[in-house]
Amino acid sequence: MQALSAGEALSASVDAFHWVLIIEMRAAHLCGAWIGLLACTHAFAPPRRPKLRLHSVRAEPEPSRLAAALKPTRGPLDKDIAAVALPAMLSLAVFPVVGMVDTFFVGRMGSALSLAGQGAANAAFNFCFFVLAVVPTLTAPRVARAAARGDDEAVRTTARESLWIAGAVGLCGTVALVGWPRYFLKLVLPANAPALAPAARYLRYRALGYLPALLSSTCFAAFRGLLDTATPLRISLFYNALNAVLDPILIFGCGLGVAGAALATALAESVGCLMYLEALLKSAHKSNFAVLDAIDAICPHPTH
Amino acid sequence: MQVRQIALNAAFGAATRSAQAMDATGVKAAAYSISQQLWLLAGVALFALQSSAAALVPAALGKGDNEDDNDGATKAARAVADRCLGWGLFAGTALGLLQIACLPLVRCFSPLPEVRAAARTPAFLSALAQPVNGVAFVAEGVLLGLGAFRFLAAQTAVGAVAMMAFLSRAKTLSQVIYAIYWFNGIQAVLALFHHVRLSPLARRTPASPSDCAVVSVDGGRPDLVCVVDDEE
Repeated sequence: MQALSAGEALSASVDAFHWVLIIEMRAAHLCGAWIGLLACTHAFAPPRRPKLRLHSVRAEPEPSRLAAALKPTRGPLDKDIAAVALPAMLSLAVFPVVGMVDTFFVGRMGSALSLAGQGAANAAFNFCFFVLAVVPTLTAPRVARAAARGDDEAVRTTARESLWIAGAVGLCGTVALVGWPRYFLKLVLPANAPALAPAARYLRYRALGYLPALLSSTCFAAFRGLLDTATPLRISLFYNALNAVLDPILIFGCGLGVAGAALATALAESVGCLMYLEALLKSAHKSNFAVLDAIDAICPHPTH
Repeated sequence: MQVRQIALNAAFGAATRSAQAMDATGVKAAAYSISQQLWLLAGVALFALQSSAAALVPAALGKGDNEDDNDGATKAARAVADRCLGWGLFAGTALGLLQIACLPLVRCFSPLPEVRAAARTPAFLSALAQPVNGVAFVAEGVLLGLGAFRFLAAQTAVGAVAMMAFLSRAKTLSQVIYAIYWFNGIQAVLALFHHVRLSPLARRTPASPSDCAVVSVDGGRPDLVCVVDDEE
């Protein structure tokens, strides 16, 4: 049988991919409709027979929840929420900044094609990353519950399980992205785009950072569960500064071009991952219980 | 959770595709991408709030596990969740205003004047939705913290279906943003409904006044004791 020419093979695979997309969208439609239907039947199910439980209710009316939630003055809970939320906001805000740093340096190269390729490769990488980012999201609540219980063993087990899963998934992701970058690039670039070649090169190197990035994300989630978002902020600032420093060295100094930017990011992410793992090992036996004492103060335990 | 991710990706992927299909010059697509990036700069703060809520609520609940004090822990968790939702509203409003103030930054994303002009309206419109986004994100965080994954997947699916229905009829970029409004609005409404009625943190009211009586428990001071429908 004669081999297909490259153009025919490419257009055939793009057609196939379009069909996959259409099928996926139809499947998501059907999935969504089916799940919506199930949710509705659940809501309209006949009421269950109530389980009887004696519940002591104080005679005075409970304060309005809406008023308590929206009080503009600072309450006791706000210190705790801020202690967790503000460093988390700063940590996450670093990512768009880093993207801009990378884009800035690649832009200095002067090649519009490289810039387009880098943008497309980053988009493909982020897509693959966030599709599989379920593991970190699920880790934080479980670690939080176990840590608040004081159950260090459960915290360690949960963290270890999550890291193993993240490691396995991350390894698959890295292999897939390094081996078949063009397949993933088709998600964001049309088939014969001239930016495909630099994008594929960028994605190959960036993919080396996929496993460390997923592990870092999971460690960040574990720290969130321990209500410690300050340590991840420090680590995140450090390795993003490292990325900014390595970028010009690898792009211009070593003459790697756009692949240098990817390599710098991957290296920085690997260093970040190692720092996270070390910090997690050190603090797995300590938990940040102090923030919960304020919660205790608001809702004192009823004296029997 | 994977179902939820798929629903999210399908919905927002469809939004990007319809923005790209809108005109052949790619101006609308670029404008959409810029407005989304501008949104993301502010949106990361909401993501952070969501993940914080997802950690704070189980932390409050976990305290009760040790001492077997479920009521106190539930009250504490309810207070934390409520306050986080309040934060979500405030943060969303503040970020919306910030995004509107940063509209001139659209200039940084593209040198083309027609792309800049096209990007201003969607960026402005998506900023208006930030308060609702704030509440929706935090409420989802509370759901995550409680482990209510099936409800979360169901509400995301409903939102995604609604959004894609609007997208199929969208002719302008503003209509694409309105479709996203619908998605976030549905998320907020459903998640709040869960929080107030279906959640393990919801306040249980006595079934009726006749189900209460003043009793002296353990010989202590007389207390109002009621029969409550316990859905745990």
